[in-house]
Amino acid sequence: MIRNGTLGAIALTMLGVVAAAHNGATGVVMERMMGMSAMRDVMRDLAPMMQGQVPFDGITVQEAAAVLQSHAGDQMLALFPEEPIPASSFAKPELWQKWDRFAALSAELKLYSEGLAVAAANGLEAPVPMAAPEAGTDSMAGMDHSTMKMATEPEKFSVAELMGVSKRAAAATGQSGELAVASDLPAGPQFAAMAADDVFERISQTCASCHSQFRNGN
Amino acid sequence: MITGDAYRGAYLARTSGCIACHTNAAADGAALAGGAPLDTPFGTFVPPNLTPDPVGGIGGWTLDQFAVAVRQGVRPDGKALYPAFTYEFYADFSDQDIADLWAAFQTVPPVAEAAADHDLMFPFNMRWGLKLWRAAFMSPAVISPVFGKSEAWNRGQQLVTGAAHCAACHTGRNMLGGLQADEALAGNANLPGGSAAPPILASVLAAKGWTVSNMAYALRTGVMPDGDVFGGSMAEVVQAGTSFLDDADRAAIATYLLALPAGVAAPDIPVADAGTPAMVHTPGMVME
Repeated sequence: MIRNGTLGAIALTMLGVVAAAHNGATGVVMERMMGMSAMRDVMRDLAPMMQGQVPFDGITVQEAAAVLQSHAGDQMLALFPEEPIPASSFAKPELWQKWDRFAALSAELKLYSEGLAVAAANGLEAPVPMAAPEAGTDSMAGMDHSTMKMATEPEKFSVAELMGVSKRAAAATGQSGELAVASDLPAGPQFAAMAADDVFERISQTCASCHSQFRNGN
Repeated sequence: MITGDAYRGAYLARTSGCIACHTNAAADGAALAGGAPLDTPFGTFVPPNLTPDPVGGIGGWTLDQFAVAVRQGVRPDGKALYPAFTYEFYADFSDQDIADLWAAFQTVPPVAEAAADHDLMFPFNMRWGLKLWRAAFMSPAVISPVFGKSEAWNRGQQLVTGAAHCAACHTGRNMLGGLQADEALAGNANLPGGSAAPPILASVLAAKGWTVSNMAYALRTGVMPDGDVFGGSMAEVVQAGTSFLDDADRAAIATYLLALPAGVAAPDIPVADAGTPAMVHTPGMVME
């Protein structure tokens, strides 16, 4: 019995050590982990909505977008002072070596989060611009069918895009999330013409781009 | 002579990771002109230049030589390629697949500069040793459609065990880099660069909340069921690979992975049963 008790105590102690290793984050590391967790929860809640699995709620999306905004851009950068990385952190030192790139991704996250708040009003369908019917013609004949078609056509990448010779067009859903300079960023008003799920996917690609370069592990 | 289709080849090249591995995107390198160095316990591998340049790339190769390199891992000079190039997974590519790939590779602008040489430790820098490795560990993919499984499952099998080469990272390797068949898709804690790949066995995936639908979505966007977004090499896989695939192919990969019996590398070849409908939805497949 004593032996079992001792083993049990050792096991409990080891569990405690493991738990401490995960929870050992303090100070700024703790702050950014909490920020990342808040964004993770928002992404978790929005993903089913963006796939049409649960009803779309524009207000919820706008609130979520506000959470993302509050952790992006300069707010995020302020939580990454250059310092030795503690064991509890997932950050990679490359983050400071390529600070401009990290800052650009952080700015991109901020911009897309703001865009999500704008596009939230559109739901899962981009608004279809309709040409005014020409006088004296049937209203259907006056509609811009090419624009309508674009919304439903399955996306397909070109040979050059597939082979990596040219970057994916920004209009395609699989936008690269690799925008490194501010001039590449789409102007704000365009978000009003985008479906919310398209903007949401850009946010996820920005997250993935940053994680692949600057975060250890999955 | 089979005529290759550049679009099909480009799609297959993207699916197979040719572009991801042989393009140094982080350094804004030209397409297929040579990839980012891969740090392994054996030393550093540098994915070579595959552009159609006759000197720096593979422009001097014939279609047959290309076929042997892709499917069998042997160079035109008869020497073996290192299995860091995942040719084992491409062993079952059809002649048409190879011709398609070849046609697609011709569309890439040639780059005259060859990629750097591998920098491997002794004895791994002795290329003849690969002959022993091939005899001991080489496990070329053999993919047969399975009667009674859905079209999506069969397509998923083809992608997971072939072109998309999931097992290259998600299956453990022995000390000499050979894939451990009895640990298929059970995860690998020792990936190049010090990262780890989690197990992707159906039972584990289901317990973590994965469904066909949310996995297909993750392969497109990187967003996991818990809201986290893939990091490490899986983020690269999504960004440079699976995000380019058709929705149907992403769903097929998920269908296959979520239906795979735990610990079983490949399905048993079933006895044909005329009474079984061809479209059987397998456990783990989410009906929508």
